[in-house]
Parts: sequence; structure tokens; C-alpha cells
Amino acid sequence: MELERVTDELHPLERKVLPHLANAHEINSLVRASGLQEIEARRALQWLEAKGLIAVEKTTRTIINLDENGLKYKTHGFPEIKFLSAIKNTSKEKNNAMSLDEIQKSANLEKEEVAVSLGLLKSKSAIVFEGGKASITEQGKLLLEKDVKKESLEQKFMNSNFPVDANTLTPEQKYSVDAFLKRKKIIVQEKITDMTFKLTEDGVLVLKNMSTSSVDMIESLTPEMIRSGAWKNENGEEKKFRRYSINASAPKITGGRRHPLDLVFDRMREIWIEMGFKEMQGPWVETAFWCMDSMWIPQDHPAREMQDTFYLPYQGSLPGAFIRKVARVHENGGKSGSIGYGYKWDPELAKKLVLRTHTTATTFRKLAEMSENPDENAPPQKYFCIGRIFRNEALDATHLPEFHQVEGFIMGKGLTLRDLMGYIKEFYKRMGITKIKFRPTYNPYTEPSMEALGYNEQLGRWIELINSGMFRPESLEPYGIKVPVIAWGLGVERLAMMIYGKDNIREILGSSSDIEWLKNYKIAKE
Amino acid sequence: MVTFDVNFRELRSAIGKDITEQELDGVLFDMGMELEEVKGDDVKISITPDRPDMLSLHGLARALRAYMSIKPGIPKYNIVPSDVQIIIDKSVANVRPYTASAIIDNLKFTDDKIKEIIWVQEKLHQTFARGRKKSSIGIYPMEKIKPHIYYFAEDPKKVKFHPLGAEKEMNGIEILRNHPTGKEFAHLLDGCKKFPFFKDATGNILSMPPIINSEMTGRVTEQTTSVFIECSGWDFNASKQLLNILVAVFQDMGGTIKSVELHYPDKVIVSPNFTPMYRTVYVKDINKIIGTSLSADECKKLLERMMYDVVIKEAGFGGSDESGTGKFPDKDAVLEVSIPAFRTDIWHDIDIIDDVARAYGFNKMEPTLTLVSTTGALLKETKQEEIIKNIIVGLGYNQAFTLSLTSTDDQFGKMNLPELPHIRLGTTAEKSLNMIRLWLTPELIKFLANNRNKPYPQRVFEVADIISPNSEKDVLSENKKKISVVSAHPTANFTEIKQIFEYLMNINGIEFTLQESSHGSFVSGRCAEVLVDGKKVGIFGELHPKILENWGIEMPIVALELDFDMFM
Repeated sequence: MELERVTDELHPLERKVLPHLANAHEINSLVRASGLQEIEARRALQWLEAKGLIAVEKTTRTIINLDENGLKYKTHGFPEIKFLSAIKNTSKEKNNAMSLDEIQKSANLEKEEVAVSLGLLKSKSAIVFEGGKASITEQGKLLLEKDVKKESLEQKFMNSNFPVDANTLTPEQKYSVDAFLKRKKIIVQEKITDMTFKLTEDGVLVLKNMSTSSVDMIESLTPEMIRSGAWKNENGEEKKFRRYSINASAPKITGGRRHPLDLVFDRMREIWIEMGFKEMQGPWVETAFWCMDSMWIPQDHPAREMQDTFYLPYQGSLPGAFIRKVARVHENGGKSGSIGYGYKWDPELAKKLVLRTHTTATTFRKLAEMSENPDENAPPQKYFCIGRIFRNEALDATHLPEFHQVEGFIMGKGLTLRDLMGYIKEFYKRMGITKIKFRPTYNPYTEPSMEALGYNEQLGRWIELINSGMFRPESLEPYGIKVPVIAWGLGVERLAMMIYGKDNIREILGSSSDIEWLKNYKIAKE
Repeated sequence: MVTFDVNFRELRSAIGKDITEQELDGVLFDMGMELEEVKGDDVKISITPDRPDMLSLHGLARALRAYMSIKPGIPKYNIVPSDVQIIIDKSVANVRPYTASAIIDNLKFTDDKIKEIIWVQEKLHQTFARGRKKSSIGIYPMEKIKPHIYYFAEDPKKVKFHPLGAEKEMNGIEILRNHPTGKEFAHLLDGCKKFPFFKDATGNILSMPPIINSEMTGRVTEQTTSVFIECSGWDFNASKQLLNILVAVFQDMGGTIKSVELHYPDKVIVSPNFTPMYRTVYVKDINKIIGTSLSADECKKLLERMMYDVVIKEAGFGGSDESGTGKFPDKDAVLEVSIPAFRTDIWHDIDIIDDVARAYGFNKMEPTLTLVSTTGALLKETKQEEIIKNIIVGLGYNQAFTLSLTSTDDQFGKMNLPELPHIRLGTTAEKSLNMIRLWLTPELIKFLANNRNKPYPQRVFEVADIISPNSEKDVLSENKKKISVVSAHPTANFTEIKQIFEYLMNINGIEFTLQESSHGSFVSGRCAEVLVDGKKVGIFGELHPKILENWGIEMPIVALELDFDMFM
């Protein structure tokens, strides 16, 4: 031990405690002798123990106290006794049998208390319970008498001096404790740790050294000390600063922070901007027209049914400029080279308001808007959007009825399926996912359609990342678009969960996420 | 995705090749399907809903045989004429006007095959037939039927028969009311005065489509060797396609297809019709879309692996007016493609081009990053939102992300407010939701309520959209951005929230006035309404203890909610 260093590092609380340790060996006498608060004394003891200046011995024992119901029964009596006396006192003329409802009312008990009492009294043969009615037995009357005389074991126990040490119970008390533990909140057992301590040899040395060393040490440097020069002695030499143990723990702090999901949005925005995309946005409440019809999703498509889509009890209005063109591609393909769906397109279905099921609704609003000013919006064009989408699902541990989608499209001459792969690969490379493969899939409004899967190292398997495709000629025809448009959409939460190591979407989005996590989450590295 | 279970052994034997699990997994993946699970011989496969023709052991095996070059090209269907007529009465015109029918002979049913047929019928009803709405399938043992067959509509009270699974005869109305299948599909005959029926020459009722067959003439057993199939509904084309899908499966099971004559009031049609559909596709267009440089011959081979037949022809001019970017060996070649009659997903050349890509293999293509030169730009709102969020974070607040779907109880009831105009939800799977949020603060309070056992102070904020009704818009509403800031700790008070409010306003250089408000959520006398140019743009103050009690929070909270627009 470096005697001087250890002595210098003593905290004021340790200095206050040390002189009393020769005589005080447990906390109460130490608190009394030092005049410190218990919490302060305990902190000082903890530090001294860590430095090896005191030796601490801990012993554990169990004590028993009355709990919530115990306290209530002590003053107001046990529910089973009330139960019994209710039968005895009020049902003489009805053959001593009462229904549980009558008993509950007459004894003024909770429903749960009635149930507990019923079981208990049956097991003690204090009542007979037949045809939904309880009547008292001789045994029961005996029980009541004992209670009146305050002679029952339970009552005797209730009048003990609490807390009671579990190791010194009499056999009678033991019987009551065992019975009460089976019942709700009558007694509570607690483990108590007693601590005794004494100075070690080092402790004795430090104590001796402390009393001879200078007490005029600087604790905190104050503006006043700097101004007056009080940090120097008369000879202009610097006074001693109390040495801090730099490894002592400091209380934790947290700061204000952005939400992890929003940081993922930011990163994605950054990537699209880096690659020359413009941002777009659109409304959450959409007409079925923009959400489905505008991109050639057939009017009888299963995804339009109630179980997937939130239909709102309103009718919106349709964009006059596109109604006929969209109707035509649905009905007979229009000029797109398609045979169409061969049905009569119903504008009423398209007017229904929905919560958008995908951000592709916003893409098609943008395509339509651009087609109204073709000169300003000549290809090539690149857009992205990050927005909320909705699925009519019940809330449970892994599903939320809303989440976020990132959508992007490129409109440009000569774009191919391989370019679609290239842009998707590049995006994920920048998000830190490099092992990608592609699989053909089906979307009503893209052909070819393609999914990308990414290899998740932690899970050791491929997971679906993104849905994509080239918009069908039927989807583009109403907006006069003659060049290929490649497009994609991906769920953000799933990616955010991967980045932040969460396996439940509700930890990432919604009001059930943990504020402590929002304060302390680890920064994600690229 | 539609998933189905097949027996691996049977699938191998139907394909005619002893493929391994890895091979199957790879081929399914390349075609756009998924091998979900393998447990011994039990295999779970999911396919995309646009290929109902693959939705059976035999249908899938047929596609795999072609894809794996075991039997490429369009499958051949030999149809023998029968003299059976289906006489369609004009009375069905207003109920389910169309039927397409066929007879299959020489069947050898086993229990497994019957199960497969029932399963395929069920899945086709659910998917392609849209819950029997478009069309519905009936299959009958031909031995029990005396031709010709009549399709007619009649008052359902007047027609009685013994439906499958029932104990006794019932009339049409009783079936819809009391039979389980009747109850499930009763909505399909809503508002019909007459119901459609099939009967044979002896007058025996075969079925009441789209509901149920008769027990007497409509139950296929292991003794059945010949069946009558009808697909009836609102759409002749869909009924025909549905029939073709089924008939193809029956032939693959070893049956012989026999045609019937459909006698409509105004025309006679021979059914089934397996004449392929035709499309002319330019090789140039294929390469332009996929980004390949395939020759006409390569395209032909790839398409044959997708069950097409292809004839290569010379075209006088290009396939489209766009000039290609590369030089193609078969620049002017045209493919005449015959499409199997059971394909329901070919609307456009693009669908054939997609099949070329599937046969080629997506993962054999090298991704390209063609530089499309455009300039990037964030929305103005995004940039400003970013600045505001970072300022609030600087004040020690944590950003929260709450849901926008909520309830009138959370938005108004628990906040001690009368119901304000808002956008309601229709029928929801989650019963606790009935509106889209009109303000953010209640959702942040919900967040604090969920975190009531966590250490205080809790300071959170959100900048996000709410939905405000607006009858001028095509969607009767609009997204509006709001800022909400809430602080919960033992000494939270009016001054604290006012400091934040004034700081935000001052650094944005916005002049404002405050007026006392009697807003139900706040303590009266400790709530300020914010006015900018005479317009209400926000509110802040100390939340009323009643509100805290409603949310079960035992901590004072101060809150601020502002329109975002003024910061733009």
C-alpha cells in the first residue's frame, strides 16, 4: 500500500468515518457516532472496503412482516371469520344455508375473498357447501367461538411483535406462517443482510497517518479561491489538493438524442441524395384510385380486400385528366399493347378513401404530376420517398398496423432489369449489406418483378429485403411515359431492427418503446 | 404467395427425374418460387398468385419438366369430341351467365388423387376465382349423369335436392340458410330472384353453382372413371381459363379429354378449347428490357423452357421506335410465341419477356449501374424539420416515434376534450383503433404512460404528421406537420415549457402573442394559446392532474404543441 497516496485520496466522508471505526462495528452505532446519514456512512464503508482498509462480514437472515392484507385483517378480522359469522348471524330462519352472493353482501367481502374463504373453510370442515349454498358445521361454530375469545393461532400470531425473525419461530407461529404464506399478501418475508466491519491493518495505518497529515487540503476549487489566491499557503506554495480515485464510479448521465429509426431515415435520404435522387412526398389518406387503379392493380385484386386495406368511411374525388385513360388500360389495355383485364372499370370503387398501403401511390401521383408538365419533367428523372404506410392488421408482439417504406424510381431511356439490380445493390452496399441475390416475383404493376434477398450474418440465412420491378406498360400508358421506369420499395423498420439488434418492431416504432433505450442505444457504425 | 404441400417422392415421379433437394430449391428459386420447408418427403412450396396453373402437384411438375429441359415447349392436349351438349337457358343471363365444361375419361382415381383434385379446386376458388365470385368449379362422376345437361335458373323455393354433406333434401333457400357451405357463400347470390342450377336429362339436379353439388350426382369416389367438369360464373374468359387449368391436371393424371358443345341461346361453342394464344415478340425488345444480347435462337430455347412454342421469323422493321443501345445479332428477328391455354398471366409482350429473364436466371445477370445523370434534392420541409429536431435534441429531449392510428378515447376522452372533426377509420382488425391522430401530444403522453416505471426526468418530443380534415382536397383531408414537446419530472412547470416555446420562436424570428386558454387538457390559468398574425398556431402549459390520472401517470407534465408550417 502506498500509505501517502491512499491517505491523500480519502474522501471527506471516509475521513469522517475512519476515526469511529475503532469502536463502531455495525452501521447503527457508526451513524450515531459519526453524525452522518446512513446512506453517507454506507457509501464511505463501500469505498473503504474497496481499498482494503476495512474488512466487512455479511450475514443474511429472514424476517417476517405483515403485508397489505395482513394489516387489514389484524384490525378488521379475517374474511373467513366474517364469512362464518355471516352464515351464523343472518340465516337462522333459512336452515343455516346461504348463497355466496348473500354471504358476500352480508359480510361485506370482495369476490376474491369469498372464493378464498370458501376453499379454506371447506378444508377445515367448518362449512358444508351444497347446491350453491353454504351452511355452518359444529366445527365451524367452534372456530367462531375461538375467534371471539381471541384464542386462535392465527390471531395470536397477528399480535406478535413485528418484524419476527424467521429462525426463532415457535412451532405454533411456524404453523401460522406456513398457512399465511399460501394466502395472498398476509405476510411478507424479507431477507435482511447484517453487516459488521473492522479496520484492517492497513486501515489502522491510514487512520494513524491521517491524524498526522495536513488537514488543510483543497476539496473543491472555487472562483473565490482563485480570486483570493487561497489555493496557496503563506509562502506562495500550492496547497495540497485531495487526490481523487479516478476509478471511482461517476453517476451516469444521458442526453437528448434523435430516434434510431429517424437516423436510419436520414442515412437513407443521404444515400439517395448522393446518387442524385429528388425527394417526394404524398398524403397518408389516399383514394383507391391513386393507391391501386392508377398503377393497374385490378379492381378485384385480393390485396384490395378489407382484411389488408384500411377503408375509410368516405368517398374522395378522381383526377379528371386521367380517369378515362386509366379506365381504358384496365378494360382493354388502351394503346399499351395489352389485352387489359376485360372487365368494366368501376369509378365508384376507385373513389373509396383508404390509408395508403404503399408509397407507390405517391410515385404515381408524381408520374401523373410530371405528365402534366412534360417539358419540365423530361426523362431522365430520379425520385425517392420515405413515408408511412398502413396495413389493416391487429396489434400484437410483432405486427403494427403502420410502418415506413422507402420508395424510389428512375425514369430513363434504355434502363434495364440489370440496372434495377445495380441500383439496388449499390443502395444496400452503402447501407452495409453486400451479400445480395435476386429472385423473380410477381407484382400486378411491375414486370419483370424482382425481390432482393440479403444474407444476414447473425441469423445465418437469407432474408427478403426489397420488392422491385419495371413498371408495366399498362401502368405507364395513362401518363404518356414511353421510356422504362425501374422502381423499388422496402420496409424501413426491418432494416432498422437489423442495424440496432432488435427483434420486435414495437421496440422501434410506437408508444411502447423504452425511453431508457432511446437514451442509451449504441451508435450504429457503418 | 400461396403455399402448398407436396410429397417429394410423387413430385419426383411426376417430373420424371430423381432431383435432389438442393436442385429443387435452386430451380424453384430461379423460377420465383420458394422451397419453404422439407421434412422427409413432405415438402412445402410457395408460388406467386399469378400462376394458378402451377398450383398442384401435376401443374408444378409440368412447369418443372419444361424448365429443367426434360420436356420443353408447349404441352400437347388431345381432345376427343363427345356428343354431350350443355344447354344454357337464357334464364341464367342475370345470375351467373357463363359456363365452360369438359368431360374426362379413363381416370384411375386413388384416395390421394381425389384429395389433390379437391385441394386444387379449393385453392383455385380462393385465388384465381376470387372466392368463387368470378367463377366456380363443379366436378361430377359422369356415370351418374344422363346427357344432355341443362344450365338454367329457377325460383330456389321450387328446386329441391340433396346437397353434399347434408342429411336430407333441401330447397335453394334452405341450403343458403342451413347448410355450412351455403351460409359461407350465400352472399354470392345476394339479390337474385332465381338461382342457377345444373340438371341432367332425367331431371336430376347436379348442383346449385357456385354453392354446392348434389349428393347423388356430385360426389367423386375411387370408383369414378369419368368426370364432367363445369366452371360457371360472371366471366366467360375466366371460366374457360379455370377449366383449362383443371383439364390440364386431369390429363397429366392420365385422363382423356373429351369436348362438349356449349349451346348458348345465340351460339354454339366447343369446350374445352386448348388452342394456344399467340403473341409476336421482338428479340430486340427482349434484350432492351433485360439488358442482354441474346440471339433469336437463345430466346427460343429459353422460352421453350417456360412451356412456350416459338417460331423465329424475319421482320421487315424493328419492334419499336426506340433505337437500341447495343448491336444485336438478331436485330430484326421476331418470335412468334404460342402460349399454353392454361396460362392466365399473359396480358402483354412484357410478360413473355419476363419469362425469358426467368429462364435465363436473374442471378446469372451481372448488375449494371448505368449512370443516369440527375441532380438530387431534399424537400424544403425535410431540411427545416431536421434543423428544428436537432435544436430540440440540444435542449436535452429524446425524439419519440408514435403511431398515427389511435382512438377517440386517447385523442379526446382521456384528454378531457369534446370530439373535434377528425378522419375516422372504417372496419379495423384492431378494435382499439378508430381514428387517425389530430394532435401529437396524447400519443406522447401514451408513451410516457408506458414508461411510467422508468427513471425521471422524461423529456421527449416528436415532429410528425397528423391528418386534418379538409373538404377541398380530393382525399377530404391533408397531412399537417406538428411539433410536440413534453417534459415529465417532479418540478415540471409552466416556465420550463414557456422557455422552450420562446426559444423556438425567437431563433426562428417569429412574432407572436399569447392568450389565456380554457383548453380542457391543461390547468386553467396555466395554459397559453399561441397566435401568429391573429391565427392560432399552438398551445402550451401544465397538463391538468385529471389528464395524468386518466393516463395513470403520477408525475407532473408540461406540454407544447405547435404547427410546423410557421417554421418554413
